[in-house]
Amino acid sequence: MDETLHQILVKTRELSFKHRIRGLTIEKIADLLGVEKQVLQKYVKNKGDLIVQALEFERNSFKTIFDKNDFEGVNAIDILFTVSKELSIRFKDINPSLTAELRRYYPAVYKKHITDKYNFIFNKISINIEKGTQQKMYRSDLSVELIARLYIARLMDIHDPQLFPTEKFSFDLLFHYTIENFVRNIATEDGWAYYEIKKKSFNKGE
Amino acid sequence: MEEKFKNILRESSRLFLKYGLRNLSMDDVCRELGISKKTLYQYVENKADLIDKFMQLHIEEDMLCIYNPELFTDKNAIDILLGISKIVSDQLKDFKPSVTFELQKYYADIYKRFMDAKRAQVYEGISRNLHKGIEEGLYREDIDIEVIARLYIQNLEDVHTIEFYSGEEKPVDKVFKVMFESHIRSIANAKGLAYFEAKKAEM
Repeated sequence: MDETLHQILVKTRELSFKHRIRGLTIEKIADLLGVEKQVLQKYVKNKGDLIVQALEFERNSFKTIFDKNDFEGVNAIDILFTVSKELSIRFKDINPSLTAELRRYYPAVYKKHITDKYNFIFNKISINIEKGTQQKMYRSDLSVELIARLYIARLMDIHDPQLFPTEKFSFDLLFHYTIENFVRNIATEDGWAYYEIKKKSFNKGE
Repeated sequence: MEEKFKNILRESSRLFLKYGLRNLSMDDVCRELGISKKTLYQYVENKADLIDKFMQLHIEEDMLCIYNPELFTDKNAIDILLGISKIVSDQLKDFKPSVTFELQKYYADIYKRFMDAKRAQVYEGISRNLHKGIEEGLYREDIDIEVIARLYIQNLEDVHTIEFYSGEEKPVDKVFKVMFESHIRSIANAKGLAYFEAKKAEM
């Protein structure tokens, strides 16, 4: 990716936490990003296009976790720890009002983003369940598809501000809960023992 | 509410679940139930009213009953969950997600009222069950009752959400079983888990 475009998208992400999308014009965005409007328009057609590209950038950034780490032959539970850690570093901030705005003003773009994102996760979590089962970390009597769908439903639930208002529930905690319950639900005795040991060393920051 | 009316409601709810809300007319209901239209309209104003009334009855009879502590005296918290699971699975066997979809789409007010009442019932019942299980030493002491109870009531929607069935459709009672087992496994301690597994093997 072009370095300027990369910078634009990184900064757009930062901006999205401080400003309402609704009130922003392309001039104002260029101003906030600290680039000339003409430069910005070389890369993005308009505000809608910037949003499309920014969301794609977000999804790609999520995908690089899997490109960066070689999970071949790695224990399924270790993979969960690695991915969660990367996620909490990269996607620490979540902004429910941004989600609400996207859903309201860019419904088609938002829907595509969410569908692509969850399809990707569904695929990865299914691989994880199969891998863990082969490694005898997870039970062998599981329906991979149903467990993966349940996991997706849970992810959607913890992102739902009506169910878990952000001022009352920390997302980090909810996410940790979801992962832990996912393992609890499917682990064999050995798998669970392994998880608990890993969790201790993980909390110590090893 | 008189018994005759309750029977009409129970029977019509069965019909609507079977044939769908949109497909079934008031005439169909009368014919299937073998009653006159005059009789039916003594009790309800129109189709929406009929649907509203049997949903209310469902809350009173089925929901209140399964979360009623007196129904399960001298049972431990896990037995109660298993009891509820069995009742719900049986209820869900003939259930079609499309009916929920119709309800959401064409009778949004009724659906909302129903879900609010149901959520409140289930929330209270499941919180009570969580406290009981902790006292009995079957559930972990460190569980966050509020988070678990909220996730549990969310099952009510998740199980019915059509999107959840994207891809190959799964029987709703099977989905429920997977959710239910996940709930127990996420709260039980070692003793509770051993108890659950022994019970599961029995069944």
